[in-house]
Amino acid sequence: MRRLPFDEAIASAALVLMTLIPLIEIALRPLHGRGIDNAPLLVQHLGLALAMFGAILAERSGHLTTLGGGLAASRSPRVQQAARIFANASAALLAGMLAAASWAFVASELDAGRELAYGLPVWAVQVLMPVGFAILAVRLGARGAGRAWVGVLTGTGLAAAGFLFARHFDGSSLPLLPFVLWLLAVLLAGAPVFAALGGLALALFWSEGQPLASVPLSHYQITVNPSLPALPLFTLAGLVFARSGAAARLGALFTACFGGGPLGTVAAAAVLCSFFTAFTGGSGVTILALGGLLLPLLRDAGVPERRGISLVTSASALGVLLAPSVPLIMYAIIARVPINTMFLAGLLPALVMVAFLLVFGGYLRRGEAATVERPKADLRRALAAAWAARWEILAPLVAIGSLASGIATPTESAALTAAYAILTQAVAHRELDWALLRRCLADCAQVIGGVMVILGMALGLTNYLVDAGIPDAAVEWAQAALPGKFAFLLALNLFLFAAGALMEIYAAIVVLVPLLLPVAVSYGIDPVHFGVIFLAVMEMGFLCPPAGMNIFFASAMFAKPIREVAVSVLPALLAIFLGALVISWVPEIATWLPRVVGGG
Amino acid sequence: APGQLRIGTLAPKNSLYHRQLMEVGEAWRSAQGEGAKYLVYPDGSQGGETDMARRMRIGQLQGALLSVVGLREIEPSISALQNMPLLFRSWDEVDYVREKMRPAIEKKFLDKGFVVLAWGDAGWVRFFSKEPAVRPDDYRKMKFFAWAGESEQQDIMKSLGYTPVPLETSDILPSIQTGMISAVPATPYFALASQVYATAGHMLDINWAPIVGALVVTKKSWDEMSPAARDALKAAGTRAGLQMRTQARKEVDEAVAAMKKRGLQVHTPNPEQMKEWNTLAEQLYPRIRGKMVPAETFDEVMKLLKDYRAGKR
Ligand code: NA
Ligand code: NA
Repeated sequence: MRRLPFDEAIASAALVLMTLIPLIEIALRPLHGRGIDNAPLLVQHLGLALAMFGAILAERSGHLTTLGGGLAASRSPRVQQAARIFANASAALLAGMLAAASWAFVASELDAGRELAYGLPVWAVQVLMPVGFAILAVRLGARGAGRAWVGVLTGTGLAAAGFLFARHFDGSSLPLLPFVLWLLAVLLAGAPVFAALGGLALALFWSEGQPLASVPLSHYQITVNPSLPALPLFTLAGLVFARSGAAARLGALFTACFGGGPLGTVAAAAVLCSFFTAFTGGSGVTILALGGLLLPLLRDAGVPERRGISLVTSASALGVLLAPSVPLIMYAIIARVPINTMFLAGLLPALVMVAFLLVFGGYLRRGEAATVERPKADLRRALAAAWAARWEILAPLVAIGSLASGIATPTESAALTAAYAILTQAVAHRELDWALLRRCLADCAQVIGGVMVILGMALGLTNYLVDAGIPDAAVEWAQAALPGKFAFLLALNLFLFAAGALMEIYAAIVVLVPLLLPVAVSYGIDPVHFGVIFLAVMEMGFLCPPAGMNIFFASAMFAKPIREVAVSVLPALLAIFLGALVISWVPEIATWLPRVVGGG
Repeated sequence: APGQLRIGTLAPKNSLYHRQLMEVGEAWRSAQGEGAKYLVYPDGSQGGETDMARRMRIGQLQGALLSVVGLREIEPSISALQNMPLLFRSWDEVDYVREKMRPAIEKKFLDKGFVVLAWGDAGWVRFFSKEPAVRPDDYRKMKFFAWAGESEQQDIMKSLGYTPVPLETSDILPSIQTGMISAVPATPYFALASQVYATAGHMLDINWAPIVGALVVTKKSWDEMSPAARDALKAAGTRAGLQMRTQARKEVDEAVAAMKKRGLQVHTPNPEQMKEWNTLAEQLYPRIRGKMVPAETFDEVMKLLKDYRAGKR
């Protein structure tokens, strides 16, 4: 086996423990045993280790998300070279600043003396943030240097310069404009998105003279969020299925059920993506798990590649409304609506959204002729394919069943699903060996690490908006400016669309729901209906820069520039927006089913 | 930044607590004068209570209205007021003990860099369960919600034959709906707001423990204020504390009434059953002393309570 680099070792070990600890907890619960001390907190903090070292691993393999295009893609080699040097040096400086801000946060925690478990202080894990950003800074600064020692020297110098600058000016007011101009140039030159976003968050806090530690504190807050461990664990399950023969088995099943024509394949892809997203919690995980399987199928059915990417990317956002998606549960909790009611309320709107996406997104348009002769739908073959894919078909049942039966918390059910994926593919199908498992762990760590640094920085931005009282001011303005319910609904859709583009969905739920729900209720809108509107529009946020996770995931998965993916999903955005408007204006789509089934 | 007062709270916008904080901010602003600005962040928009304590430490927030969950992040001995079950029989007893301990507690907070402006409370913790239950034994077959962060509490529960299921607060509602837990210790206000009572429709009417809270500001921001602003802030804090205490106690009764109207069943233990509960509490105290509550503080509370009861008799 190849040598195990330290970043991969730490990130993979964290991921393995995140899978094992919840399983041990499930096993020990009926025995009334001691269990593992503070297991949920431990798992959440392992998530921090996973995120930081996953990001470092992603940097090493060149998988940190960049905007793509811009100056880095210039035809002149000299411009390209200059852009690269500028981007790397700036990113190193910015990561050095983030290291300083994180260190300020950790230093404030040293006195607090909180213990995680087994005598391990919380700060001992938190310190991975400044350490991680420092390593990232040095590595980014060392990029492209000819000799190793030159790289280390340059990287260390740039990292230290950023670190000292941030430490020196922390707490004083600096003008915003020069920063914004520099950051725009940095982004265009092809620097990692997290560095530019983090830089913007720092610059905004700087402009108010507020402490820089606010940004890493938000990053920490989202990374150790109790619901977050579900994200890497479902991703791991998805990756295991995607890298083993599971993808092919599911593909065969769907071909047998829907036939191989463009219409059948497109419909199957949309349904499969939204269904899968429902239990991966509305993250871009679906793209990773299904992208590699669906894109070739769509291509074979005659769907052009760009439209295929667009379909997979946008359909993967739609499952947010389908039970048991984590955003749905999260909304129910924040808005204090019964979870079962939300589950029922989301069902019909989810179907409406899929229909709108297919019709108005232009996916049903005839493409080129099929490149490969595809078979028609066939019951006997479908049954055989279903039997071959039985373990994969049962996976959603494991995820949802363990939750619904009260055996597991959301995190534990995600761990169970990850373990189920590993065991079925390794033991039942014998398709997962140690080398492949190691690759799945490392890939999962890279994806989650790359996403988490962006998420953390985006939450830092969100926190600035909250800190400056901007959402509050917007709501007061809305109440004064919008005369009626329909005007409010239209404005709500537009506002949520912008919010969804700027904010991560969980942060949006947490921040905006308590602010907007009272306004919506004052316009006579039912909280259940509001939740469905909210999540439906948030689906667009997945597809819209700068915080559109699905675009980042798709860009990574299909190795396409972010800009290209972003342009390809424009028709889908329009379709989803129309669907959201219909759901807004016809409340019965959301409220009818809960009323009929459960009496609300 | 100097000249700014940023206060966070989990309390909802326009709630009693939020309105009181706005009044405190306004009083401070007019005394601090030119250029002073206050901001109140309701609804937990600056994060949970632990996060708010952190944001105060880094200097992003200057103040926060916290329950014991957040306050013990700053000074652990505060849990004495909340972690000693069935110790207090009435709000009068809580008020008496808190008033006596206040100078010492506030001194401890000051040493940790925080100034206490006001004390408030948010009702008694009661047990909400899916099945009816009145005796301590009735709860032995149930699975209890327990805060994931508190392993000592879980150890104590296990040692007495109870089954704690450590979860995050956000897991309470789905977990009681799916049956992962069957009993939740919570204040009536929380049970109503979180809809827990809709699934766990039985409430045991005992005053298990009071939920107390306080409005604190960082000593750093306190030192930067003008003397006039400090006085105004202190006075406004005292007024707000009184309002929050009297109002919150009324809201508890209103919350129970509202839930009863929607089907909550309230069970009141008879004297014999109450004796069983008190015996359980007696068993708990030695386990709590020195573990969940510093021994010194524990003894002090006990002594104060004895004094109070002796004087009253
Ligand atoms: Na959880
Ligand atoms: Na978003």
